[in-house]
Order: sequence, then C-alpha cells, then structure tokens
Amino acid sequence: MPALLSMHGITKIYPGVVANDRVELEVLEGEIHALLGENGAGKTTLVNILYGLAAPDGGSIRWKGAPVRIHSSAQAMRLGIGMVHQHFMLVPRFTALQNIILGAGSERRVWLDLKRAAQRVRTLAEQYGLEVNLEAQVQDMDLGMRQRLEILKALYRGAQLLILDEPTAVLTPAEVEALFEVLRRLAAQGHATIFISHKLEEVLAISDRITVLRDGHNVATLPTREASQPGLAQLMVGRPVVLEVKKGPARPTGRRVIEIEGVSVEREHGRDRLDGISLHVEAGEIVGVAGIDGNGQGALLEILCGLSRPDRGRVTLLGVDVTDTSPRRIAALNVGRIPEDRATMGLLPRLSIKENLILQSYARPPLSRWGILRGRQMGEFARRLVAEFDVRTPGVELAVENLSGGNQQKVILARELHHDPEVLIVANATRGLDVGATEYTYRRVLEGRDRGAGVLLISSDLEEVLCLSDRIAIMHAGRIMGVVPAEAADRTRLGLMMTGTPLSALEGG
Amino acid sequence: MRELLRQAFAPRSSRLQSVILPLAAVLGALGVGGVMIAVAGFKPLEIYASMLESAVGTPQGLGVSVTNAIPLILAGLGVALPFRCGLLNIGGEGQIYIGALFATLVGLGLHGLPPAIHLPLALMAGFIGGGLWGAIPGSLRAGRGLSEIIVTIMLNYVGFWIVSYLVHGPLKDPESYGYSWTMKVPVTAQLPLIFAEARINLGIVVAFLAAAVSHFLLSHTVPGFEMRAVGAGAQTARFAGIRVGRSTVLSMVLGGGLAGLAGTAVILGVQYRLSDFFSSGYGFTAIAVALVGQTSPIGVVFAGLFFGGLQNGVNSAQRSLGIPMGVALSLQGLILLFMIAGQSATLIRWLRKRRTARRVDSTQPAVLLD
Repeated sequence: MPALLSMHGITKIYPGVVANDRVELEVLEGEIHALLGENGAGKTTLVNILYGLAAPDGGSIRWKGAPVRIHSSAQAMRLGIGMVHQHFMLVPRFTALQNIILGAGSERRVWLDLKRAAQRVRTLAEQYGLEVNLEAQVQDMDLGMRQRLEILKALYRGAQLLILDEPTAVLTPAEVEALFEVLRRLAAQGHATIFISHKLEEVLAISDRITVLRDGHNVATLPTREASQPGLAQLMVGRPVVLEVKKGPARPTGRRVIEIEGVSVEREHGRDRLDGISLHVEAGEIVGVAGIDGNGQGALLEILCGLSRPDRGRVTLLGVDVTDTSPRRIAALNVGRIPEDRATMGLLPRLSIKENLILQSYARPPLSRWGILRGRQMGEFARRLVAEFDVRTPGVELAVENLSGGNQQKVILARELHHDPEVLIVANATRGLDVGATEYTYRRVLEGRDRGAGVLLISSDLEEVLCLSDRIAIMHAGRIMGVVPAEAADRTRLGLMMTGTPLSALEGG
Repeated sequence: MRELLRQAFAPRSSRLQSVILPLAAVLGALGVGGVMIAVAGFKPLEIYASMLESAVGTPQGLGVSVTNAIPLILAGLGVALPFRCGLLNIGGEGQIYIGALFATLVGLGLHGLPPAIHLPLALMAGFIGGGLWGAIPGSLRAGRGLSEIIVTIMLNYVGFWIVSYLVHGPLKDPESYGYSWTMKVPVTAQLPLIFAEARINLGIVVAFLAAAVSHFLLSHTVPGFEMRAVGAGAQTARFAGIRVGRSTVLSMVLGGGLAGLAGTAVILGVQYRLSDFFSSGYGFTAIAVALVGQTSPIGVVFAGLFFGGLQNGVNSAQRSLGIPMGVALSLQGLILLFMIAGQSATLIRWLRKRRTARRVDSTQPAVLLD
C-alpha cells in the first residue's frame, strides 16, 4: 500500500524543551496508525505540526508522495487532513448541521443551501454509521455524539486522514466500542486514522501499526500484531540510557511520615480517579508509585499537596491529619515538594531566581523581619543555594524563565531540599530533563532519604521508579495493584500490573 | 485580551527595554499624530513646538502640567498595584468618585481643626473610600471568582451616580443656584500651594510619596512579595502556601485607595467642591498611565507627568492654534496602540526565536524546511 503521509525528521523546539527530535511517522492508506506515548512525549506537538497549528523547526512532510508545507489548519483541511481535538471545537448553541457547515459553506457561496448540505451530511453519516441528530443543539448532546459530530465535520470537509487526539478520554466503554466500529468502517473505505492515546489496551484493540514516542524521540514503529501490553509499556516508559546511581540500602526507621488510608476520589468520566488507595511511607525510605499516566497519580498528588480533598479516606503527613487542609498548612509542615509541572506549580517564571528561591522562607527571619524583606540576607541566601545546588546562572536576579529546564529544576530542588525536609513528595521530577540533570535530581532525592526523609516518588517512568525506590506501588485505574520490594521487582510483572493485573493474581498463577 | 494586556503591562526584564519601549511608542505616536495634524491642515512641527512650550516653557505652564499629573499618577498607581497581583482594575473612575466623596464629607463635616490634623484626616478618608470601593471587586474575585474587570466597570456607574445624587440633593450647596456641587471645603482641609507662582499644590508631594510607598511595598515587604508572586503565577503561589485570596483583596483595596486619593487630591487641591463632573476620565487615562509606566510605581510617576504635560500642551494648542480636541485624544490613543503593538506577538516571537536559536545551536544541527 502506498504511503498517504510521511513525516520525516520533524523537529520542534520550545524554549527550554525539545518537543520533537527528528521524529518519523508514516501512515498508509486505510490504516489505523496509533501514536503512543506518555504525556509530554511529543504526540500532540507532532500532530499539531501536521495540522498546521505549529511550525516545525526542522524536517519535511510528504502528502501522497509530494512534499508539502502546511501553514494553517485551513490548508491542512484542503489537503484532506482532519483533526478531532481532545476538547471539541463546537459552538454549543448551534445545531449539529450548523456546526458542520460552519466555515465550510455549501456549493453556492453567499447563500447557505441548507437542504443540500443536510442531504450530503446525511449520506456521509449513513455511509460510515455515524449516528448524529442533525437538528439537535450541541449543548444538548452527550460527549459521544459530539465526537461523532466532530468526525462527521472533518469528513464533510473531505478528510482522507483523520487525527484523533485522545479520543477515548471522554467516552464510556460502550461509546468507545461504537467509535472503534466507525474507525473500522472508515478504514475499510480507504480513510486513514492517526489515533493518539496512552491507553495500551485500546491501541492494541484498534490499530494496525503503532509508533511509540518517548521524550520527543521515535522509540519504535511496529505492526500491532507483534506488540504486547508489557512490551509497549516498557517502550513508553523506559529510558535509553541506564543511569548509574549509587544507592545504599534503605534504613527505614519504622516511623510513618506519610499515611494514606482508604482514599477515594470520584471523577466524572472515571478519569484520574482514586478508588480506596492505602499506602504508607516510613522515614528513611523511598516508596515509588509506578503506573501509566492518568491512572490516579494526578489525583493522589493533588490530595497530598492540599489542592483537592478526597471524598473518602484519611491522609496524614508527619502525624498531622491533612485530609481537609489547605496548601498553606501543608507548606508550613517540614515537607519538600517537587511538583510535576515546573512552570505552573513549581516556579514563578517571570520572577527572579532569588525570588523563586525564597518562596518558602521569605516570611520568616532571617529573610524578613516585621514584614520587611531584608535584601542583603535574601541575596546571601540565594547565592548560597545557587552555589550549593550548582545552578548555572550569571546571577540571582535573572528571571527564572531564562534558565534551561535542568537549571530550573535545580532552583526547585534547592528551595525544597535546603532545609532538610522530613517528607519529600516528588512527582515526575525528571520529565523533560537531560541525563545530567536527571542524575543530579536522583542524587539529591537519595541524599534526602539517607538523611532520614520519607520519600514518595510518583513517576510514570518505570526506570526511574526502579532506580530509586525501596518499595514500589503500582497503580492502575485508581487502585494500587500491589506493593513490591524493589529487589523483587521484575519488569514483566510490573508491566502486567501497570496494565491491570493485581499482584495477588500474579502470585496465585 | 487579558493575556495581551498582561504582556503589554508586564515589567520588562531589561532596563534598556523598559525605557526604550515607551519612548519609541511616544515617538511613533507623535509621528503618526503629525500626519493627522497635517491632514487636518496644520503644521505638525509648529503644533508640537507650541505644545512643548506651553507644557514646560513657563512656570505657569509647568504648574498646570504638574497639577494635571497629580490625579493621573495616583490613579495610575491604583491600576499598577493590582496589576502586579494579576488583576485589572478598570474601576478607577468609581473609586475616584467615592474617595472624593469621603474626603469631602470629612472636609465639610469637621470644624475648628488645625490643618495639620484636618488635612491628613481628609486624605485618609479619601483613601478609605476608594479602598472600600476596591474591596468589593477584590473580595468578589477572591471569594466567588467573579471577574474583577466586569465588577469594577459596573461599580464605576454606581460610584458616579451615588455622587451625582448627593450633589444634586442632600449635599448641594444651597447658595449655588445654577451649579450642582457641594459647599467649599474649609481651608484647613485644602491642599495648600507649595509653589505659589506656578500654582503647584501639596498634592504632588502626596503623589510622589504614594509612589515611593508603593514601590517599597512591592519590592521590599512580605505582603508586596506575596502580591507579586500571585501575579506571576497564582497556582505556584497557592502551592507555596500564599493566601491568594488575601493578596487579591489587599491589592484591590490599595489600588482603590490610591485611586480614591486621586479624586481627593483634585477636590482638596484644585476644585475645593465635589461635583459630578470633576473627574475628566482620570480613571481611564490611568490605565494608559500605568501601561506606559510599565506598572512600576516609579515608571508611573514619569508616565503621569508626561500625560499631564501632554494634556496641558494639547489644551493650549487647541485654545491658541485651534487644533481640534479629537487630535489630542487621538494622540493619547496612538501612544497606547504603539505600546501594545510594540509588545505584540511579532516582536516577542522574534526575540524568543533568537534566544532559542542560540540555545539550540550548540546541541545539534536543526534540519530546516526546504
């Protein structure tokens, strides 16, 4: 079969991060091609480039064999590329039909020929089994129908290649099955689909071939029949470089510094919920929480940081009940937190390195007295931390957004670790970092443990969890599948647990 | 819109940029304005020379410019301060009216006090009045998540009509037949002239002091740092334990208070009577002042003086040379447009691209399209 689309050497650089690094993607006619990878692996960047929403910094695109440059989504549509975004682009108060013809017009330019348009839409809908009530307003539709409407909209504009960005995220299982049926019919009639997901079972169920991205690189492209869930999981979360981290044995003291008991969070559509999680961390050990993104880690982190409250259960930090508390109370405890998202939770990008470093200590002596900040002490404090944590910068007054990702991370590490916290909560801390900065982060986290801190390490990077943890808890669909000592952890078994097999079942069989 | 304004308002990282940008905007606006003046049938250079002469050429002219600048600086600070906390205060006009009302009440209501007590009390009342008017949108934003932009705009009307009602009714000076205004505040509550020849009153000292205090607050105090942290990233600030709501309310109270002082300074320093037409849109010009001043208190002082002079120059040019008022207003508008355009995507993207390009060069050769 000829290649409908081939993307070659696609590179996209955002300030501080290489989102796509010489990525290759080839899609054949009539093929359902899955694009698999963690959040931040570069999937969305790649399809945004294809759809004209982002300009690549390097690489080339061939469409039906001819080289093309795609500058806008309008041009992508003219070529025959359609995209269904994760968040639907529909006008809620318009009917389905109005949404479909919005911007696409009909044959007669000025006057809308609604009747003929409706006829064309109906034919298309029947042809592909897309059940949509054309007269209904979008605001009254369920999410499944809105999605079918988006697909119909793309087909009406002549899409031969459909890009579906995380299409199942908002669907119920029955709706997922219906979507798959539509995709199969589309494929049978020669349409190609790029199916973006990080859900392995769905990718295996629907795709013909799979391209795996990790940290902006191609990891593999393989036919789906040669793929397995544990194999794919390893491709998604593994690391190309095995980091050398010297790690002594843990000396847990038996004092539980983090206790999570029966915590549940209900969520609409069942995404990132928690279902009766219980876990504890002792002083002097690192407990890793492994799992594929979106299986409840985000909800767990929010609760531990006081950003949301569980519906059921109890959380204790350093003996203090923090189930119903504010981030402020948690920040006041001797807890260090290294959040997942540096730009929106860890740092104030436009403020200086100094101001970011004092963010946990500005309100107390020696940095302030009677509400007045003390400039000299702040400067000394910041310069000391910059030296101690090896932040590469010309000075502490520089805005932190001008630092590289690795140095930004060092600013966070310095702020959160300099006071020797008794509890350390680390979430996907090395995402987007290079090997050097990753190793540095690991060393600091281990030092924290050796000084007696209890560390909870949430990471979707399995290698990271294996490398650092003393015990490993595996999450799937909001539950903990099991907790295993790190020495006894074996990748295949962890992979199975990450995809939904409980430890008890593995041990039974 | 908020993001665009945020980019335009954000204090510049480099000092050079923070001076060059407003200057370039002013020059660009004068250039385009010159074309407009020429089209209207006047000689641009002649007009500009006359404007400059009347704005700073004589002690009297300078006095008018500085007097114009007093409410602009104070109300400009009232926009700048909340902005550093991530809030857009469009409610200066309402805060000006309510502040002026409070000051007038204290001015008229107390008798027999020495100026050293009466005047500070009246000023404080003006600050409190404006602060209360700012507290409403601040707490609605903090507690209920209501947009402070909408609430402040709406409260402008409420503030104005409260004052309008009072000066037409209960507070109307019985001896003023044609005019609807209050009695004159006693001399003990007036801002005295400090340069008699130029007719500059003490209000300019109040404005400079307010700018100095605002600068100190933002840069050197715990609540000021918290406000800036919230403005730079509310989620990070919350995560770090800062009470975002408290900072929000505080910044709006201070911003409203400063705008209230602006109204107070006009009543106690220039007009001495409260009316419902005393503010010629200071609250809106203040947004321009804060923007040109890059939301830094010191910058606002310079921007306020500049706009005060511009208004004076334009008024004089209109009187002596007959250029239309529209030209004057257009000049202000043009300066704003140039400021925002200067910050616009193209420039920022260009700068950013250069920076990234430099960073990437060292790591790997990028294959360019084509």
